[in-house]
Amino acid sequence: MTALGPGELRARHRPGLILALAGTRLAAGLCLAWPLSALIAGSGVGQRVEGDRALFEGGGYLLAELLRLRGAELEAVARGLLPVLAASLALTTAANGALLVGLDLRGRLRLRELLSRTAARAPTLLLLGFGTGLAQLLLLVAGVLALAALPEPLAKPVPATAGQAALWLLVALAAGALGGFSDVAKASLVRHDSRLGEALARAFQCVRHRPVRATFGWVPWALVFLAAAALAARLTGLCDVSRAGAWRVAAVFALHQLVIVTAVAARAAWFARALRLVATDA
Amino acid sequence: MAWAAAALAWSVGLPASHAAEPALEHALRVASYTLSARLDAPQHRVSGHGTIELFNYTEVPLRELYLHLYMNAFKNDRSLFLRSPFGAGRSGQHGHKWGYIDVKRLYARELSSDLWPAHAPASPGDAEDETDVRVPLSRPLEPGKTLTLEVEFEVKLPQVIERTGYVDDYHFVAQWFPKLARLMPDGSFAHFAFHPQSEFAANFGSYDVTLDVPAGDVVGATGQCRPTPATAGRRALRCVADDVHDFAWTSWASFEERREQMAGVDVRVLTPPGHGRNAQVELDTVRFGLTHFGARFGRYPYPTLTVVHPPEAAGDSGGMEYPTLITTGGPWYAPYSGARAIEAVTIHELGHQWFFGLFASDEHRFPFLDEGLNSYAEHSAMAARYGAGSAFEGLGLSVSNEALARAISAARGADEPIAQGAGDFFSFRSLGAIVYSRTASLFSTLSRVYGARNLDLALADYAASARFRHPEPAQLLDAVRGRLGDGAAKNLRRALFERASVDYLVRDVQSAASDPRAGVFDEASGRRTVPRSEIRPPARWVGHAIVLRHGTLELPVQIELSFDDGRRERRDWNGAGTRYIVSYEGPSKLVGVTVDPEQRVLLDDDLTNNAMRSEDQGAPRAFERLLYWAELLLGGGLP
Repeated sequence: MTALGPGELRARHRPGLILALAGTRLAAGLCLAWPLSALIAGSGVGQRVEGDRALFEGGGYLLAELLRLRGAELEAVARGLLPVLAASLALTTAANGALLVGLDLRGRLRLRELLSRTAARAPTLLLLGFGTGLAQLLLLVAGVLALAALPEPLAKPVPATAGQAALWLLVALAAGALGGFSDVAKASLVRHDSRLGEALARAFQCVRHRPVRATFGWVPWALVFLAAAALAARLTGLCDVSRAGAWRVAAVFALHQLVIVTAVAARAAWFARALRLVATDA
Repeated sequence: MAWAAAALAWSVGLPASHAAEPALEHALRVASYTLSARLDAPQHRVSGHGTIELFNYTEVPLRELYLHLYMNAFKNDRSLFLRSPFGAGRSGQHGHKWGYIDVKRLYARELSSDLWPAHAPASPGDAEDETDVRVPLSRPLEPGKTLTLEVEFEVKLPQVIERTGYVDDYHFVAQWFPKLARLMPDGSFAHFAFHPQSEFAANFGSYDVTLDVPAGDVVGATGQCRPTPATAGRRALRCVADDVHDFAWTSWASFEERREQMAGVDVRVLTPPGHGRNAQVELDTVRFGLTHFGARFGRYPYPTLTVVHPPEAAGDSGGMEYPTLITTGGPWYAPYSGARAIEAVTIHELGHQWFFGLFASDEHRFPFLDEGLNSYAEHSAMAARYGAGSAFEGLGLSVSNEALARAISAARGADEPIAQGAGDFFSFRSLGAIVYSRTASLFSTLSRVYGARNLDLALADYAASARFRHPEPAQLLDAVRGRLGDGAAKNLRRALFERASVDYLVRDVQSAASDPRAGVFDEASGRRTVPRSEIRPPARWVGHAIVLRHGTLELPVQIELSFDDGRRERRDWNGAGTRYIVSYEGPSKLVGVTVDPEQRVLLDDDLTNNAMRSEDQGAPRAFERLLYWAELLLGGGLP
């Protein structure tokens, strides 16, 4: 299999891969959600005639009671799931790597080749992902420290909040730019089969030539995802799972999974753009 | 004039039953204050002088007075208020900038006697505290006589801690003047040190206070305030209030003011700049609350109400009630969050105008009569206005104040009795859970079990009998007995005084064909074997379930039976005895039993054991929601 030309790199060429990745996320999500929901069902909620509808009923009596009586256990189970979460995040990162590899290849995808190519790049991709996360965390800490130094005049609460919001926006922009840069570096790793240093150098080159695209090119796709999530929240509200009917749960499940597929598709679209960036700058 | 004093004593005293007592139009003036106060803003000091008039309405001569000097709670960390190493009161704060009061002069006009030299600390059992002093009289004050005390004092305000003090040029001045302890009908004084868990108690009277502040300051104060002549660079206001028992005020140049006449009351809202939305929410809430509470607990009788929203940095001066003045609090963006915190704190503090202000129960001895009943009133009002989402609405969830209070109440409810002194609680956290949340849940339970209309009538009776009369728990019990019956009053007394609790639970549910007739039968025609497969479907089913009541509250509940054909049936249990055995025979299989299906008993210790089914249904909705959140988490929230 050979690499596609810059003009051919499109997410829409890989619908199967996008669905497979959404499926991967669904499987990982199941591993995380199952133990918690089993605990909730076993708390007496599953014994109610109306089932767990009561958790979503107006007033929130049973929800508050569940958190009061089982909050510590839910927290303990959630803590116990941290290794599963770490493994799932690694799997998701690797799956994103597979997405980059798949988008870059020409012709019909063969699973073995996709996996072997992804596996070859996985350590570097994971290292880059971990490093990016760490750098973003450091930015957050710096933001918190800077926030404490901001003056809060007694009689100017709105400007004070605006100052805080501006600082957070700055931190978010820096973290977002770092994330965009990291994705471009990942694209370079995959596209040019390069080492980490070379990939970072290419990413810097992209930033120099197209600073906005290389750092914030993901923003339109993030907005698509956010719009989908907001629309789904509105529609699931209309489904009102506090009322009887298995169809309501099924409809909400379908809506939420559509959001996840949209999220993966949006990421694929951004990755395709990142691949185009490193392909044309090479 | 002993008869007159006795009659007056009756009006403020506590005979056994007041359930049908008519409301008083005015309070008996026992302790009245005419004071002048000058704020030295840069030094955060208040200089005061004036007179205090004490009317001996009792039938016994008074030989001593007790004065509360509550600003001394912030004088040093040996005061009862600040002594705890864990921090003081509800905020858990330590003192940073000290506050105190120095009384310069206390002269009894009718006795021609300077009383202050003979004063002595009197905080019961506490030699180090300086918030409660005894002042012996040189001659007894006879029944029916009035004593005029000329007083001079100097106050140094603390940095804001527990509702009083300053931050920069913002000043909130409460518990600031030498205040007479409440004179009881038997001639004793209900005096007590400023306890970090306690609020206050005082006699009614008239307050005439002239405030002298920097010229640019906006002032909020108890009573009706009118400008009076002032010196250059200063501003003076004379504030007058009748039928009240405390006086607080605030002064800050940056306050923005909104004003509206509603239900005949001149309502002012003072907020920091940028809090326009909060001001509007507070005005809307007060407009609703004056009508809502007025219809239930009697008309708000004062011509003014001032709502003070402190700046965030002085938030500890918020969330408090004084006669005709309440304080709220919260950030400027609070109304946009989905939580109804501003509405809740406003309606809560407004409700205090009745339970604290007009009724004036002893908040030290029985805080539940104020904070507890007022929390119930708050939750009812919020539910009436906002429905199921009275506390929070968002993320596809509606959470009510009652649900939150119920959860807090259930967590700590049996730890201590509700009806005990503020200082007797383990901690303020315990007091908060039991006095605020458990009392509110108790009255919500009475309302749901015995009828909202009946409880409204009972509380209206109580309000009428309590207005200007310093009520005690017996009046409340009488009112509940009168409208809800002996059973309700018995449950109320147990819940208040005996740590009584209740947990209804379903222990067992079984259902089977009523007459299977499977097996080997010797009949006239010979021996016949009937296999089980031949008896389906059965014509009749029998069902059996056990519902238990743990605890000593005997509250009537309903028990709902659910059948496999979707049918439901309700049974009534009066709550007597410790168990109710459900026996059923009918055309469909019994698949589930729920006790208290409408969640009327909010005092129920555990809601998760109120139902049982023959087959567990799992939690598909919770699973779906958790799955979605997990998938979002794995995606980092963004693509």
